[in-house]
Amino acid sequence: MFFIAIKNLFQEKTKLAISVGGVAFAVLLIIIINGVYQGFNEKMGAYPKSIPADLWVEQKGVGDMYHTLSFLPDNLEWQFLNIDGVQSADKYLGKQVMFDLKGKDQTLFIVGIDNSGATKPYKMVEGSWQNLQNGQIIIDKTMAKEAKLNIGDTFDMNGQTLEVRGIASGGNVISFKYAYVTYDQAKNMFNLGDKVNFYLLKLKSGSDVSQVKSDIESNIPEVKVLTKDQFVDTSRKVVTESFLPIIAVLVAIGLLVGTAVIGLTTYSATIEKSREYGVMKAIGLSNSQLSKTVIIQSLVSGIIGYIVGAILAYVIGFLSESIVSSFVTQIRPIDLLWVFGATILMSLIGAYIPMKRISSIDPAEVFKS
Amino acid sequence: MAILEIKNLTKTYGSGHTKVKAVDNVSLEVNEGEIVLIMGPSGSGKTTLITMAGALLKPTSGDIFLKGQDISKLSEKQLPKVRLQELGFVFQSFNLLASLTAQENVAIPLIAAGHKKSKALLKAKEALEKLSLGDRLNNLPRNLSGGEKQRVSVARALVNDPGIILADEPTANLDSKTGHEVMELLCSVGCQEKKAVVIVSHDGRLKDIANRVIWFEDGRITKIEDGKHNQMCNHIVHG
Repeated sequence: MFFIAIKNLFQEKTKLAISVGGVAFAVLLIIIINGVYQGFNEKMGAYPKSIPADLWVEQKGVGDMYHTLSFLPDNLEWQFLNIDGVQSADKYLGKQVMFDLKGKDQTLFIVGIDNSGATKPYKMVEGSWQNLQNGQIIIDKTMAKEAKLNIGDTFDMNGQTLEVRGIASGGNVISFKYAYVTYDQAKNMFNLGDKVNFYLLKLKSGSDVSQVKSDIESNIPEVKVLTKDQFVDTSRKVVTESFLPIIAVLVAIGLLVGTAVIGLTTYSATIEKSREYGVMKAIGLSNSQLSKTVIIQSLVSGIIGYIVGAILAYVIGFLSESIVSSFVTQIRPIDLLWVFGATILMSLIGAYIPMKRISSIDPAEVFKS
Repeated sequence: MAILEIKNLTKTYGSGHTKVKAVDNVSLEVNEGEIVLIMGPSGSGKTTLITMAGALLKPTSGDIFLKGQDISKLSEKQLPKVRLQELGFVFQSFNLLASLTAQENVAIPLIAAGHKKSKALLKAKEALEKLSLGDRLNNLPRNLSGGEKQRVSVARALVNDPGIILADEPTANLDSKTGHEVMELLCSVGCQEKKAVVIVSHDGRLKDIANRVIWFEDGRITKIEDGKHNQMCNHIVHG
């Protein structure tokens, strides 16, 4: 029945184009929306993931480093080092700062870098983070592009003049961008006095992570200890919890549009060919054989639409990132796979009503001229 | 040997005051190689009769035996197989599938019966060549003349080697010359292919190819007369 389906499909080129276009649009919408979601999700966790720490220590009751400020005494280092299994403890300073830059609101997440380099930028694009001096800053390339800043340029941030020392990448996260200053400057900027925000702990090889975690929490009651993965997941929750319902609605709309288009075009093609289906029934083709032709037509339209939509998603994603620097997409193979599965599902659902229509066609009608 | 045996067949539509008997207690036998022409005015029930004989419509009462099997008692799921293997249809408006070539149209019953596409196309080619359509294999129906379309339709009806061909007004949409060619073709289906052929038509010329002419009116057989099949058959066979 495959060749009948293919012949029927390609005979009606306009209908095929509408069907393929509808599915391609739905697939494009789903892949891009999901790509933006995955892109920001990935970016959100990329920096904390890059920091070489096995455990993050924060103030009890703090969820993540973006929403609530964590304050810990800056003299806990030795207490951590006294716990069996802890190899090193570094202090982490980080806070969101809003300021006016060239007449536009700018939000940065400022991180203090100490000599250990534990909190160094995700990836340097230009310049170096080593020997960063007070009064200097490393900014993200997205900010550099948007604000037209280059190495050596200066700008004012809440009364302090900062010179751009380097440009980093991977720090563009939805509503803010990472920037890096010296540890001392950060402490001064945040008015932290004798506090720090987090401690980053490295463990000796072979240490039992959960044992060390529990030892720290029982010895120092004011802290909460998270493994690196837990901390990254907590950071990502900012995206998942805020955006996932919106993404889910948009993906559902995409699926509905795709199903409706494929269903309507397959249905109208079936209606137009009702008499031919009646003839095939009369000469002995069964309902299941004819249903197969409809399913094949619907699946082929869906698969062609998927291929076109996926290619367009890559092209549009690439162009958008080039034009709008803060636009981030990440199209993962697993996402292409589930969208393909969704396309197959759309095609099968789209074929259902035409199949019902075929089963109701009376073959005796063919004797009426 | 009777290929088709119809016994006390009745088909009723509607109920109460609107009840209409389209076919009323009709019995009929059609033998191997025999051509039966059913004639009668419009609305006389002849198309209803052929539709029931073609396993496309269930009778209200009575039996239809096709090669000894009572097809009126078969379920909807069993009927497609009977139509595919035992019956061939020729329609007034040809009813070829517009998106398929002549060869592919003829191959459909074979593919539906489970033949591989390549084998089915080969058999379809042979069937079309037999009907002098070897140079029209790859033509779409819109590029065929009326007579060619009807010959493709006959090839499609014969390709699965059914016992009986049911033809509904096979010459109605054709000009006189082409209609005569189709008549000769149907005649040879009877006398050379040894198929039983039942034709429903208003076209009186078809009496020339029929063994029997059955007159139908108000759902009943009103007259049976002999046709001129033997003369035409001799003409086709011996030239």
